[in-house]
Amino acid sequence: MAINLDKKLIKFDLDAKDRKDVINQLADLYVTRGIVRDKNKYLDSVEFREMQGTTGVGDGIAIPHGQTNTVTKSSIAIAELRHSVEWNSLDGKPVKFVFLLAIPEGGSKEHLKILSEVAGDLMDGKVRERLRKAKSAEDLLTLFD
Amino acid sequence: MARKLIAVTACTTGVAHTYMAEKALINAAKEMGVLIKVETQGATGIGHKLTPKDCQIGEAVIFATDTQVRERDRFKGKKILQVGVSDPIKDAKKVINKALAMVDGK
Repeated sequence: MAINLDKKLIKFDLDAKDRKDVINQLADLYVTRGIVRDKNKYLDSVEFREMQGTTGVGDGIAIPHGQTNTVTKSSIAIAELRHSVEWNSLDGKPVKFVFLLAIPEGGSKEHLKILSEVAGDLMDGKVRERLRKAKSAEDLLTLFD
Repeated sequence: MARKLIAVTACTTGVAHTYMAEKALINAAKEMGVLIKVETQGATGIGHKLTPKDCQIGEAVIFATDTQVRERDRFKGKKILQVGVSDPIKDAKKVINKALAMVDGK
C-alpha cells in the first residue's frame, strides 16, 4: 500500500520549546488544512493518549496520536526539530522526529491501515537510517517510498 | 531446530503501538534465528490470525498487550508471557529471550 504524505503537513527544522509546543504547532497545520475542526478537543485526545503511556518509542522518534470525532480524515503530520525535546521516551533519549497522527472516530479502515503501516515502518532500521540522514522536507516526503 | 514462538500485540488506540510491537518482534526474531508469528489485534481488526495449528506449534505465547486479548481461549494451557505493548518496542530481544527462558524453565 502506498503511503502518500502531504508536504503541507511536514515541517523541517521546526523550532519548538517542548513536547506540547511541537504538538500544538503540528495541530495548527491540521486546522489550516481542515483536518481538525476543534483544535483543543484534538489536543486533549493526544494528551489523553500520552498519559496512558509515552509515545516516545526510542531512537529520537515519537509517534503521538489522538482519536476524536473532530478529526475529518486519517492523517499524518511530521516534524524534524531544530532542538530535540524531552518526551519521557522508552530509551530515555530526547526526541528529534515527531509523527503526529490524527485519527477520526470510525474512520475508513483502509486509511487507518496506512497509519499503522507508517508506525510499523518506523521500526525498520533502513527507514530510521533514512530519517537520520534527512536534510529537507522533501527527504521526509519520500521516507516510506 | 529453530525455536518457535507466537505472539499477540494490542494497544489502546489500536493504530500505532500494536504494529510497532509486531515489527519489533519480527525483526528481532529474524536476527535471533527464532521463528515467530505475530497476531495484531488493532482498530482495523485482527491481522495474521493465529490458527489452532499455530497455537499448537508455538512453544510459548507472548502477549504484548495493554488491552484484553481477544479470543483468549485459543491459548488455554499455553505458557504465556505477559508484557506491555511498549516492551518489545523498547527491547524485543529481551522479551523473546524471556519467553524462551520461560519455556526452558529457567
